[in-house]
Amino acid sequence: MSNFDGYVPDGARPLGYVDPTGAPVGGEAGPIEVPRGHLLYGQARKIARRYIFEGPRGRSTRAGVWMRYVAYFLTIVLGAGIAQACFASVQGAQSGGEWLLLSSSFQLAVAAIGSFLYANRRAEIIRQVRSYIFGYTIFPGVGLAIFMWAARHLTSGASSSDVFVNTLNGALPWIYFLPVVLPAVIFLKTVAGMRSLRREQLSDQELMRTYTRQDGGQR
Amino acid sequence: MADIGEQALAPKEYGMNVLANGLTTLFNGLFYLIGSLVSPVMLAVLVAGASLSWLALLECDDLDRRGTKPLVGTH
Repeated sequence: MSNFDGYVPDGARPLGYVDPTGAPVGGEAGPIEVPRGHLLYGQARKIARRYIFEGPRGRSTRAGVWMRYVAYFLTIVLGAGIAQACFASVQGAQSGGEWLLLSSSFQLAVAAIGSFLYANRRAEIIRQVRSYIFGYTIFPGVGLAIFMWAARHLTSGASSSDVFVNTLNGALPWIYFLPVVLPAVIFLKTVAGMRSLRREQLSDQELMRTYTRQDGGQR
Repeated sequence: MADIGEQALAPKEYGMNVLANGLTTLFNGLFYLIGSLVSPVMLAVLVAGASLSWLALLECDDLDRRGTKPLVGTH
């Protein structure tokens, strides 16, 4: 943890300041002056401004964001692990958890690249990738994996001519394809089509005025 | 038997064997390290972690933009 992490008190003193009365200077978070032109000057100024506007709560808000993303990561890894464990006994689908992980990381990579390409839509991209990963991929995938594991064990005593069990065991891996592979493709298409006209929220008249530069913006 | 001066002045054979063997050893170690560390799963975990970190940075940046007034040098 560096001295630049937040907390710039009013009346920050230069480095090596000695109080004329002999009182201790600084305390826990020692005041430090970052000279203009220093490598960290911009960052220190940003943090100082944040403290002015938001107070100590600014730091905890950002820590909350990071903790939320750590929780996302752990959820993805844990979900993939559960799916992998459930698929261990399913013939021909042993790598189900790995596919879940690959699909999630592919969508995250698409979101990260999309935030470069469509910088003005990055908040929407973040919302969408969260919805795709946790709404369509991880939780449905893990649920299906658990269901497959349960079906496999509950029907282990069934005869080989049981049509229902055979159909179930044959169909479930295909259904698993739905939440795991398809969202990755659809999310790629969503991000690639971020600027297409059909996503515009404007009315037709307004849209065509803007699109043909009859909006007065050229003046 | 030639004296030491003649031995020192005798033409030597300079080969690339030592260099080639050393490089081969180094590259073998490197390939072993990569092969043992890099797997599709590890790659996916790394990509997911890096992408999530980038998205978290973006969210923090959005918070910064919402939280503070814009800096204007001169007004």
